[in-house]
Amino acid sequence: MITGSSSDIEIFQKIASADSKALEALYNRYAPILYTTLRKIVTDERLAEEVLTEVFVIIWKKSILFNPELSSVYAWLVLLARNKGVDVVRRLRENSTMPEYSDEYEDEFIIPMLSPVIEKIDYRIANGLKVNVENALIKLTDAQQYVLSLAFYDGLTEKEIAEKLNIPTETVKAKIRTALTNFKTNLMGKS
Amino acid sequence: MLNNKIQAYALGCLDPEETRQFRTDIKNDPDFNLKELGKYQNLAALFPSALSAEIPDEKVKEKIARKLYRLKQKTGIEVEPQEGEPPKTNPIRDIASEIINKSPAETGSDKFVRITGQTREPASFEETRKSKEFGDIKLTSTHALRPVKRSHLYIYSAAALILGFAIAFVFFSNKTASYQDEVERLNGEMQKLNSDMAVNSGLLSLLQKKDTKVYLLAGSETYPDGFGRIYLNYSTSRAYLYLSGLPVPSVGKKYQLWFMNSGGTFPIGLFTPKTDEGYFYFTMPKLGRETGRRFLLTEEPEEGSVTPGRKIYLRSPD
Repeated sequence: MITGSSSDIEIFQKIASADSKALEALYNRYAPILYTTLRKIVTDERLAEEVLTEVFVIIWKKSILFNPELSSVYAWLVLLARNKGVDVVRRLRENSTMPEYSDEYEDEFIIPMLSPVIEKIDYRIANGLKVNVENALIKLTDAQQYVLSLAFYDGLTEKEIAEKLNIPTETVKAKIRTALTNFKTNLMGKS
Repeated sequence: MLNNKIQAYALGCLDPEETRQFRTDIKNDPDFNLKELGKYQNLAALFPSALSAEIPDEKVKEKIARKLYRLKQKTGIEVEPQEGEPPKTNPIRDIASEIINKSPAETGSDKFVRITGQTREPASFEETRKSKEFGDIKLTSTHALRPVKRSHLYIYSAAALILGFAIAFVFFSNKTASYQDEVERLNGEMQKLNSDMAVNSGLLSLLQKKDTKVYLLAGSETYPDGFGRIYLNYSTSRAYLYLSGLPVPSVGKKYQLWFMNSGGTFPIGLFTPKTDEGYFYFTMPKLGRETGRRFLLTEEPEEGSVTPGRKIYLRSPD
């Protein structure tokens, strides 16, 4: 039975065996962070709620594609919501040039493909890191924060960021590398 | 070369072709640093934890339960559309077109939930699960009961026993549910405390900086009970807005903060307090150091305005 102290792994295993109570437990645990992510990406409150609904339906249908014992539940869920949110915004902006939204498309571009070698982070660890993450982001320059925001929340590709900022793509690539590396150093130290 | 793309891939800012190529390349490169990729993917996922936490409306949970129920119907028994049933829609497309075409007066309507009236839909995830477990078996009473040769005492005893078990089951189920509710409530409180702690820590660090200035905001004629403060650090442009005693903005409205100086009036940001007191983080745009700096808080449509409206709630004292 799923309780408040059940691990994310247990919850995911139950979801994979079609236990909707487990999905409800996952919702209670992760809806705030996923909704916060979506509000930042799609802005509109009602649209963010609708996308959040879609995200949980994807989790229900596709949890079988994810092995929580070997991976980072928090990263998988947040990146899934991020990818879905960015995709919705892109389709609203440029629907005619977007490929059809199919099951295959979802598996390739919406479901995150995490590295098989990854530290396991769950909501408890992520909650504990909140203040450190804020401080690590604040230490970045305004330009570094901006470029990270354009990439992560606005969902722009490196080429699109280059066009938007009117700078060479190579410069954007270098800025992204530096920004994320500095963020890592600020958060985890040089080692 | 491949390692140079790790950060961009983790952030999701490679275009689809580059993404495919990157995935193929890492499969073919035994020396690729998978650990580094995992590290950056975790880091990217941590970004949103720095945002002010927002809680989705309670109805979202119910909506998910409905979707799962429909999904089950779709995958289990294909239900033909009934006469008069609303056509199948794409809710995201519906809302998007509504957002694009909406006028402020239309924002209160809720078009998400379309209940056909043909089928009772679940109000919780649990109901969906039960129907999943038991399929669509329906108990019917079309056969007439035949008399059975059993003593009444035996039947009554069995019925009493079943009733006893049922009462005990309901009692313990309720008890368990209430414990779960309590755990979930405590988890919610913990998240709120974490969020408050982040605000307090950010505010403290701002106040410790030497170039931080505090602006007072007083209630206007519209809302004399309102009160606010702005803590603004000029070197980093980081700021917190503190609001107290203001009502939650009406549906379709938000509070908008304005900055005024001798150079003009500039919109700073939109804020939606969910209680009558709270802190909001924002970044102050670089607007030079003209004289006569003042702030204004007005109520505006939720998409924001270009110039301040007439409904002023707070303003810097003259």
